[in-house]
Amino acid sequence: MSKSSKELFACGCSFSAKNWVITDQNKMDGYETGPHPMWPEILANKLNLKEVNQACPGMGNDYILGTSMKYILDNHENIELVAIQWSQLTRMWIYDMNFFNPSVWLNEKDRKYDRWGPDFVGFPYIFGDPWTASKACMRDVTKDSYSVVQLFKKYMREIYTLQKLCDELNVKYIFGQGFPAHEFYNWIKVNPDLDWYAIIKGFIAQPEFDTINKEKFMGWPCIPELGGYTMTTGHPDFDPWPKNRMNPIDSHPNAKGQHLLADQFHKKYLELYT
Amino acid sequence: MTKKDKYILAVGDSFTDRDFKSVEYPDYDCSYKKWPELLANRLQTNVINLGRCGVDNDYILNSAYDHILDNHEKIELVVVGMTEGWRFTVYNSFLINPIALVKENISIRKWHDYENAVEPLSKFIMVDRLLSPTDWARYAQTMFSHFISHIIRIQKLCKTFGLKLIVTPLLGPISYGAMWNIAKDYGITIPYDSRQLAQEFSKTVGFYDVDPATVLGWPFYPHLGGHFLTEGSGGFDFATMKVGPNDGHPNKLGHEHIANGIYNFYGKAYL
Repeated sequence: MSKSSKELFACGCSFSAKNWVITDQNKMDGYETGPHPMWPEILANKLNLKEVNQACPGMGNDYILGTSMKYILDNHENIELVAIQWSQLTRMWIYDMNFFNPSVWLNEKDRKYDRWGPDFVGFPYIFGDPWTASKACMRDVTKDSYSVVQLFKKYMREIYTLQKLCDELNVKYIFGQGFPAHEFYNWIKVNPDLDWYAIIKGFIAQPEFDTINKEKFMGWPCIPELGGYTMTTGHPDFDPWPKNRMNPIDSHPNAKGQHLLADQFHKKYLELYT
Repeated sequence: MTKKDKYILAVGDSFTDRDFKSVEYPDYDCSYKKWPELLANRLQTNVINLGRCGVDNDYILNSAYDHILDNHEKIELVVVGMTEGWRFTVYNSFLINPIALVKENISIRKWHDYENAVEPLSKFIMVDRLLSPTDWARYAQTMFSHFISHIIRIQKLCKTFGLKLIVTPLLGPISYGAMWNIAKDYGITIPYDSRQLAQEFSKTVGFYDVDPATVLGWPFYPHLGGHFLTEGSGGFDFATMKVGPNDGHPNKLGHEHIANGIYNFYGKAYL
């Protein structure tokens, strides 16, 4: 099989999705709106691979794991590289169809703007009032540090499952984090007593923490206090704010930012696999 | 590693959980062996039973994927007891069964804040959509598709690692009887019959990608020529095999029936 017939399989959320454009609410005069080439396309070109990009805006890690697992099991012999951009902890995907992130519905001041609107993803409104539902859900999630650590455990399990699948099938892989995994700044609106340092301590104390392959996860553990970074937050390519992002209120990478993400994956690929 | 050192991996919900206790009959002695242990006895091998009360198919299958990836060399047989298609588990912690949140006469009450949060969602799913005269088929397809995609994924994973597999729903993806009862509770007419529900199942994307060789009862619905082990179509006698009139979980005899069904299927598929 010639190299060019082999595939780059990519998955993630809006950081990676083909044809992504900024939402109307986040547009600002003088700034880009998209669409622009995304990092999987740029990376595939650099590596002379066929791009397979199943990233989807709004999706969480359960989508990323389920979709990637299915594709990898079917196609591992054709895949040169699996490149995954992991997403936020609280995003959920129900019945493989509906997605929702209660972390974004916690700020009452957004209610008067209703900035997402009923057509944003549709799904939040089937919970009834999304602010009420989100707060009720997040009250359980954030009732104490232990409960929040359970979210991190789930996140690590999802990463580990995909990592292990790739290892078992001898498929090359590189992982990175898109948006920061946690949304602590939103969670403390629900429980002001939440202790971030207790959460971090709980996170690194989990046995799952040591199962993640640091060599293949760029920036792991992706939290600045632990010396980690995401592909944007804490990364010199995107510092200071809002360098190489869409605009000051939208943290997605802009066209140049997408090239920088591709460069990060490319550099890692060369370091690990050549 | 010899066959004797290997084990059966069993995953599922309360129909599989070795520590199952009846909520309806708290004094009922549930210490009898469950089907995974009975099956292991018959196959003269060991068993690891990851069954857990209340979980959904995502939880069930994810626990199987994790365990298989770490331990496939030690596994003789994977048996998956799937559950209702409408259940979902939020963050691996909050176990949500929409049917329990829309029906008043069953024992699972709203114990947690998150259950209040999902009550509108439950009504939306179970009543506004699955009983909608115009939309029920589309929504049923969503649940069927989710159900079937898990079957296909576990089949691919087991095939990749050369593992024997048996998948069987111990609760169906969508139970016509349950939907009929909800419709009755809400004073509406169910907009389909059991044949139409089965037909929708057969139209699901992925239906023909399932390998029937490892799926007990496929394609499950009697109208399609299939059966469920824990319904009359699979020889389950509700009068003698369930815990009690208000608790449909299998009793000792019920678990023996399930273990026998799986054992017989194993014999045909693998011996």
